[in-house]
Amino acid sequence: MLLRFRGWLIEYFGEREATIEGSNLTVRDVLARLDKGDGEILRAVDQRGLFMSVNSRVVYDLATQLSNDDLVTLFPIGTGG
Amino acid sequence: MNYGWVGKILRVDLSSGKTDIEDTGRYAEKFIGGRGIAAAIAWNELHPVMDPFMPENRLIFMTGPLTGTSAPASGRTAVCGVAPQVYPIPWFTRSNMGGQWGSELKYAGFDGLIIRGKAQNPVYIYINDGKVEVNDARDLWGLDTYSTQRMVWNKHGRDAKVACIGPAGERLARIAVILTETESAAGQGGFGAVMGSKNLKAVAVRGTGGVRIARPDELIELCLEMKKEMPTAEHIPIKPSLDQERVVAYGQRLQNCSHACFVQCPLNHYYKSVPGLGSPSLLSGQLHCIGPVFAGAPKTFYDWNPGFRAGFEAAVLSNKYGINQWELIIGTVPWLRAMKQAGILTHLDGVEIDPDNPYFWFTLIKKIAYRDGRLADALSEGGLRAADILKIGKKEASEFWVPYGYTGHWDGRGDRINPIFFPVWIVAAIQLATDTRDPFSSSHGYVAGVSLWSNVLKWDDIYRIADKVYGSDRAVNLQTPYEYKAQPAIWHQHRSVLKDSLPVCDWAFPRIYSLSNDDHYVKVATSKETIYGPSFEHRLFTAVTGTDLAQNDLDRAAERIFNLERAIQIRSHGRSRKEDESIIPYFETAEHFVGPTGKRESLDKKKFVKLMDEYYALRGWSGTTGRPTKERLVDLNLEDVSIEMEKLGLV
Amino acid sequence: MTLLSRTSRSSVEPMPEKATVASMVARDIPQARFEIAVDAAKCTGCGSCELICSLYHDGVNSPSLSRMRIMRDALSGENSIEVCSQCQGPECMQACPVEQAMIVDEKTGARLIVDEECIGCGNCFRACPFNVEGSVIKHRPKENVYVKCDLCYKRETGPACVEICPQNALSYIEQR
Repeated sequence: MLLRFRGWLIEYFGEREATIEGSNLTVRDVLARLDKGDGEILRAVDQRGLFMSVNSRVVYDLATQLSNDDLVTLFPIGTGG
Repeated sequence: MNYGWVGKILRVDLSSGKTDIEDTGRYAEKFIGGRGIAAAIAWNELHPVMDPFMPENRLIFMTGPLTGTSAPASGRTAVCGVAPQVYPIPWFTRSNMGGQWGSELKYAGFDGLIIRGKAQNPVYIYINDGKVEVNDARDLWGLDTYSTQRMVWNKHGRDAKVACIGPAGERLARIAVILTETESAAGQGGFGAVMGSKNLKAVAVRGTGGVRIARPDELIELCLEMKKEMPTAEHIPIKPSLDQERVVAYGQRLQNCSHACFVQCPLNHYYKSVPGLGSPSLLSGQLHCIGPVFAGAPKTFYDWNPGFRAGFEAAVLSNKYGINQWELIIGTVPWLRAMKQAGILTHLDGVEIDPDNPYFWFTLIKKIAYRDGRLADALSEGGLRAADILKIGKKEASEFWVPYGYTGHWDGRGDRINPIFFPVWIVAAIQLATDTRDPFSSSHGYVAGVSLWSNVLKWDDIYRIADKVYGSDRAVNLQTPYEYKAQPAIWHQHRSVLKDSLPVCDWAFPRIYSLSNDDHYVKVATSKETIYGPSFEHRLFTAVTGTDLAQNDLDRAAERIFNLERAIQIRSHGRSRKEDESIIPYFETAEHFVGPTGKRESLDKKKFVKLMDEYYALRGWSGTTGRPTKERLVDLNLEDVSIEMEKLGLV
Repeated sequence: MTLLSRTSRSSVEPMPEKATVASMVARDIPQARFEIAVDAAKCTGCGSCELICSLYHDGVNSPSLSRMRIMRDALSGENSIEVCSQCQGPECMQACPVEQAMIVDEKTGARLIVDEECIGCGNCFRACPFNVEGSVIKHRPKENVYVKCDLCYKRETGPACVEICPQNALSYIEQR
């Protein structure tokens, strides 16, 4: 599946996009794979500093199942204001 | 005028103590309400240029025909006048306030309140169902904004709605706000200082009347249908949620910020009981907009971490003292931090500049409110003036503040938290170039909307919808950065005028993108018709007022108001294309976030100037001077303005 | 005290004290069926319910005319909503001296004030134990009648306030 990064994630990962191989992955699995070992990404999601969309839907439940041809975007929303 | 508007504008002269009533009908047909009527008053009464602290400056609180009605998110009030925050020379501009105050003013029988003059001693105004009192406020002067409201409730009952200033406004801080409830404020512009300069502590309103509605059944149906397509802020495709730990520890809850708003903004929370660190009390209040960033925002430029409780206390203090939160978080503290990094400043009167330290924040906020010490006194004048006064950090200040004296806001550089990218901020640049303040006073629709919705929707969907709304997908197409940007800039500037005049909340409208249908384009079906998102404001306006104005009549009214504001700029402040383009250097710096091109883009001046040519042409303004032509003014029913401008050689 | 008919209502005198159950006129009051339940913890104080109530009933947006009331404390963020409980043993009806001025809607069980029959005596206003300064039963001085929540009994989709509330703080439920 294709992953898109936005905002500070681009500098954090050093790229705007990434592909992830694997079947029967949940959102949480994908986040765990992205994690650099310090728990930052999962923590950011927990604290609502980051959100996820999957194929034009916003996904809040980390247990959501993903499939191989999904387009997943990880993004901050700033303050909105 | 039977419906929507209540027909009267109240004028209070604090110098003479006299009050007067004016007919709203004098302005409503051409200028609708809110920002529009305020501009008409400014054109008539605020020339030649005047210092904002002169008694003759008007402080204009103006609602619109939708205020106090069921129309979603209509409980707003425009607050306008010559604004102290503007740099270098204050000019007439606008701010906006939520809460319940504006609706109550309508129920008390007034569409607006215009204050001039200066009271000899501190006073507050009390409006009660058509009756007006100007009362001694010497027992209120000096109190913070929350205490002021409590005292007014003691005097006049809990149902009175109060807009007031804190110690910052009393001391004419140019970054002082006018506040109601805990966090709803006319924030930008320093209008709190205008109130302070008039010795006006508060305006309290109580009203038992109502707003007549031309087509009640239609309005009911519109509200119920629109509700389905208004789950959250228009530019943020994220639902609000509660943090269970904070619910338990601090009484976190969702709380509305403006009357009649059934939208839930995702970053808007109320906290009932947060233990203070500096204060011995339990603190309560709303965190909205930039408020959460007092506590820092991990992984962003604002990566300080004093802790949640400290951040909340800082937010409450800034609200109680009555200081602009955007200025503090996006301007003041980043600038102080930059000064420290440059070795120019280390301390604020004995407290080390350290945003990780809660007491740094509490001290800073209090000192600014009381102008305590040379540094804080300068900071209370706003960042650009502070740099001038202290003769330091002017270059660094220009990173955080745009030339008009407002901090950056959804522009990709001064504002380093909102994840915008090239070319989206080009529209911000055009809007800023031709406005009187940060354009995100009521303009989130394009810049924030495209930035955030493109994280959820496919670009193809965004292009398709932009084609519908703006007339071409080049308005948002990443492949055409310098093409077709004047059009969405103008579309949203006009929509912004309507939001400030009808009024409706800038975060709630316009509705464009949707997660409720496969088209992703907002639409609802009533018993009569299908209504698309961008038409919502117009439908509400016609159902409330019974007018037969069409959508494009409303758009023309917006254009009329925008041109009137431009005329004010030109006549009183010599605004021209040269001033417009003074914002170019700000955008020639690299953007903060890496965008789709893979690098940090800057504005291409040559290409941008061509876009500005397009903008002036579309607006019917001279490409050389930036002035509206006589023809355009007349075409917009601003004949008297065109005559005056022609007399002055300004067309 | 007997129930008065329409022709004799002009000669009635209002009861001087708050009515008590003991002094109630015998009145055959059908069971309450539905009520509007309030979950104040969910209320965000938006005011949409108050506004739509007067909009639906009176064609005007006016919280003062609304048949429900939001109590807000802006500085502590507390909100609660006062609305008629549609009591099984409604003191308001039992205190009303005019036979046809308060009736019960068969479909919803709503305890209604019939506008044309109301003589403005205010007994209901004073008898209701939950009525604080007109929070749930309101006086209309101009017409000298009283109004209260009628569960929008004529409305196909039920109470307008329940339908508009964005937080599901109001629900329309069968009474237990």
